[in-house]
Formats: sequence, structure tokens, C-alpha cells
Amino acid sequence: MKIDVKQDVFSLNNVIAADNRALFNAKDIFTINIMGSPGAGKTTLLERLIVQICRQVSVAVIEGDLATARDAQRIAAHDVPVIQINTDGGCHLDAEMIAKVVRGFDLDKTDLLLIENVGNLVCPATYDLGEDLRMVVLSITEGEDKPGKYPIAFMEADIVALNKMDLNDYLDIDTNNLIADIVNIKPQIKIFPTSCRNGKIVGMDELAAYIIEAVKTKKQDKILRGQA
Amino acid sequence: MHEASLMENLLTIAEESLSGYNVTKINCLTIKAGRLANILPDALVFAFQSLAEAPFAGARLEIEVLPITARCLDCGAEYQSMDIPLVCPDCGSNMAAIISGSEVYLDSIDFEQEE
Repeated sequence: MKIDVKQDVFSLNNVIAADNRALFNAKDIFTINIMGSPGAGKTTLLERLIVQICRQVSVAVIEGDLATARDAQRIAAHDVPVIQINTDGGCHLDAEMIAKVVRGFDLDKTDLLLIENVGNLVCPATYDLGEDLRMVVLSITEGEDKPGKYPIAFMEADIVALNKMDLNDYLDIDTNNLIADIVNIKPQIKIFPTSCRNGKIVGMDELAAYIIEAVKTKKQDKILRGQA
Repeated sequence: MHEASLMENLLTIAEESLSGYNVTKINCLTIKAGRLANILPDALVFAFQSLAEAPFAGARLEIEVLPITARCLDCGAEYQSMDIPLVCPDCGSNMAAIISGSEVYLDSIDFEQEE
């Protein structure tokens, strides 16, 4: 005999992600899921972002890695609350991992939760964590053909930080081709060319302003909904 | 990349679905995976062969990849596509909102049971 099952393996993750989202909404927390290859510069970009926005919004950070607390130590040096998740080999964060740790933050005093996913341009894209915004950090050293080769991460993303622009003069890469490749996959995506090292801080004012605006808009929308 | 953990979840769902049946043999598990789920069918079969115990071991695995369903943000048409980037078949726009395509689910189980 044959029975229909039709049960999605992501259904449990999606249920927990919805719970996370409800919690973040109730606490007025704007959440960003940050994805990118190992070495794209995600943690360095986060460090720079925290320095630029921590006086205006209160930030909490979740760091996802296979092993070590190295990233959490780097973030903690900036005096923001941080929790490290080690996936012990797992290639992505899932909603349950976030749910298990997130109450370790003082959520009433958090405006912005930054979740740095495991370094991987493939798997994290298929796991909803309950975030408001997805950011891909892609470094120009990865090559201008990468968006087309890893399209799903970009299809599911809202913004891209095109990182390591300080190395542009040393690479035989045309960033216009790189941008065109991203836009071809998702025309409405917002791209921020950035650089966070070597004394060349580029594009971080624009990225910081965009994120601060998104945090404020979420709070205002809630107030407006409350009045309606 | 995470086909093994997906297969573990699929097998758990299969076991739960079969509780209450006196199963003697599993003939076939049918799995459907959206184009955006990043599933490699061969890796899923390999994970199944490595992980499946009785009564699942030896069963046939049918994997069907489902197209992305999207809505055109310019003309509003709803369409399906296996290809990325998405292009609206009506107006040619590549501005799209994804409706589905990330799902991975156990569709059906074909099995024998003791009368």
C-alpha cells in the first residue's frame, strides 16, 4: 500500500523560526542573518559595524562557527554581549540553535541582534532563523564569477556587503562584472561596497546608516500598528 | 552539503508516519525537493544507503526536484522555473518574489504490511 506523508523536513525549523520572529517582534529587536564564505570578512565587518553603531543602538551578537570561540572573543573586545555557538561540524545555524541561546541576552535592552552564520555560501541560505534581514558578505578576492555559481544565497538575501574593496587595485577583477552578476540574480538587492582594514574604511557609513534606519523603522512601525 | 542530516530527519518522519502499520517491507520512499533547497540527489541516496536500517534498508528512493514558484514584481504573473536567475515568461522581468522552492519533504511511502 501507499500512504501520502507530505511532511517538510524544514517544518520543525520553520515553526521554531516563527517563534524566534515572534519573540524578536515582541521585544522590538531587529535581527540580521549574516552569511558568506569563510574568510569573506564577516567578523571584521561586524567589528567595524559595531564600532560605528553601538552609541546609537544596543547590539547583541551571536557567532556561529564549527569550532572555537575566536570570533566571540573578537566581538567581546568591543564590549557588546556575544554568544558563541559551535556547531561541531554542522554547516549552518538553524532556528533551534538560536532559540536555545537567545534568552541569554537581556532582550529588553537589545535593539539589534546580529547573527553571524557559519562560513558557507550554500547551506545557511535554506535555514530561516527568524531574521528580518539577510546580508551576504562577499569579498572581491573570491572572484567575480561567484554570485552566479552560488545564486541561492543571493536570491534569498536583502543586502550584500561587497567587501575588501581596499584590495581592488591589486586584483585582476572588474567589480562592475561582479555587481552585474549579483543584480542579474536579484535586481532589487542592495549592494554596499565595503572595506574594513588596512586603514581604508570604505562604505561603512552607508551600511551603518542603512541598518540604524532599519532598526528605527521596525520600532516605529510597531508604534504605528499599536495606534491603528 | 547537509544531506545526511536531512536524511536522518526524513527517516524519522517516515518512522513516525508508519507507526500503527505492521510493516513487512518498504518498497519505495518518494522525496520531493525544491530547486532552492540545494539538494544533491546523489548525496541524498548515499546518505540513505548509509543511514537506513530495517525496514528501510534496501528500499528504493525516488527523488523529484520541484521548480521554484515565483511572482513577477513587474507584471504580477505567477510562474514556475527550474532556471536561475528567474525570468518572467510573460514580460521578461527578473524582479521576482519567491513563493516556494526551498521545501524538502517526504511525499509518500510505498510498503507491504502483514494482513
